[in-house]
Amino acid sequence: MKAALIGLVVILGLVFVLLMGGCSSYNKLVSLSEPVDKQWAQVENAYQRRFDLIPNLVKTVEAQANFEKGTLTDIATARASINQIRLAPGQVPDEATMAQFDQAQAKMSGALGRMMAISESYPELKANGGFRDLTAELAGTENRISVERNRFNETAQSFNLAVKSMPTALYAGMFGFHPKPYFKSNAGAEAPPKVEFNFNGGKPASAPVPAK
Amino acid sequence: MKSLMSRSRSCGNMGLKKALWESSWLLFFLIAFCFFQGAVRAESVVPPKPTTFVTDQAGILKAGEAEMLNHRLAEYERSTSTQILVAFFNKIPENEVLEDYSVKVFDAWMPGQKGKDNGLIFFVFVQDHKMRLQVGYGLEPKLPDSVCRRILDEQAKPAFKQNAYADGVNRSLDVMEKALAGEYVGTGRTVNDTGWDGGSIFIMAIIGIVLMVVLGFWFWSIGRVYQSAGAGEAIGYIFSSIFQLLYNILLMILSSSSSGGGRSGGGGSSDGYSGGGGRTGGGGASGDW
Repeated sequence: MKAALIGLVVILGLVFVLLMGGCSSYNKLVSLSEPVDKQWAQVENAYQRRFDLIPNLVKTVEAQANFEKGTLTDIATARASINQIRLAPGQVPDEATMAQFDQAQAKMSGALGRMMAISESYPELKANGGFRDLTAELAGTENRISVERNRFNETAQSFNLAVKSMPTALYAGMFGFHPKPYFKSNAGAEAPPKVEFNFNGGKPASAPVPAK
Repeated sequence: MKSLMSRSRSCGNMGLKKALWESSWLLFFLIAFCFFQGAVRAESVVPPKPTTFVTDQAGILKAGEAEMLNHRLAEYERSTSTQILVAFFNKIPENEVLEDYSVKVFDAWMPGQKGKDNGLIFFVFVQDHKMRLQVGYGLEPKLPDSVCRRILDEQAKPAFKQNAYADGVNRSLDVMEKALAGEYVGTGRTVNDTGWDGGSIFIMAIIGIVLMVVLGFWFWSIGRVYQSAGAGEAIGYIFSSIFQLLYNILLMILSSSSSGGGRSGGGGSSDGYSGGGGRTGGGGASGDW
């Protein structure tokens, strides 16, 4: 009788400890997961910003007589493939979708970089105030993309660390928390090109990163 | 549970109190150690947070120019709450890209009010002949990248070419202030005037919590000593009222810092800078001359 009572108390105690551990792990994972989702939204914003800039940019470049058309079609196809990717709103995509998204965006970076490099040899274009504004916006947007991507990886890292380390790892799977995918920065293709222009002569502008 | 409590009481309260006392000291040192670590790590990467709006590490400004510029920027924060910093450096550190470095420095200096993110840093790397406007999230609508680019090209560049650095910055500020007119309203004080910036609020909150925990333990143990004498209730009352008082003080500190008022400015017009906790998303423009 007494032994059974002690056994019961021990079991109840264990259940209590497990429950408390579960609660605090759950809270920790939630509090680490939310910043990742928020940061993902910022990444999407930055890319969306670039996406929205493109029609104006292309229009301005197209107005330039005999501008090389190849890069413009590259941009159009890259834009179409970005448009095809369906992302769940407010949610970090799974690894496969993320890779697809990243690849499409990298193609766009490459195409834009090439277009910018080519437009260097069109003096009228470089003198065009509207075009200069658009290049400044594009350069700033590329910078935003790289900042927000880095921040995303940082927040995802601290979340993933919690998912994989004890004691939260015990509960992460149970509550449906899975490691978040990272942005991979492959050499060349993934790094957003630094679009820099030197309008008033002097040193040559840095060459944009060629796309694969 | 009950047997455990009675056993520990019979063990003697001196032992318990001593253990509690020692554990709270241990906690205190642990927290202090964490802070120390953080401070050391942060400093090794980027220049430390400035105490004035103008930083002239390149020694490029003439006598009086830095003070005038600093006063202008302090007044601008008082009237608009927008924090604009100007930083002259000699060179971009090796292995750093201008755009990445300026974001790092911005993250460390945190100009702009928390929530408004209305901060900006005007970087000038004198020997590299490079400059950059790093814009906080909250100023992006009125200072888009194209406008920043124009400011650098049309205002700063011509003056910098003549080595008229203060003039170039002042002219750039004129245009920025025009662009930002009416966007934000100030409190008549800088963050520095009110005396609490983001970092010190955090430290105060931690100290407050530690105090509450330590005092809580202390009163709890005293309460247990006197429980047999029947004074537990009175001690409990004292404990809870002190706890309440500390909690209120903490709330007061936190609310006064967020509203910008509440605490009278002791320093008067010292024109010092304290970061408000603003953030940047990489917006702005770079230029050269």
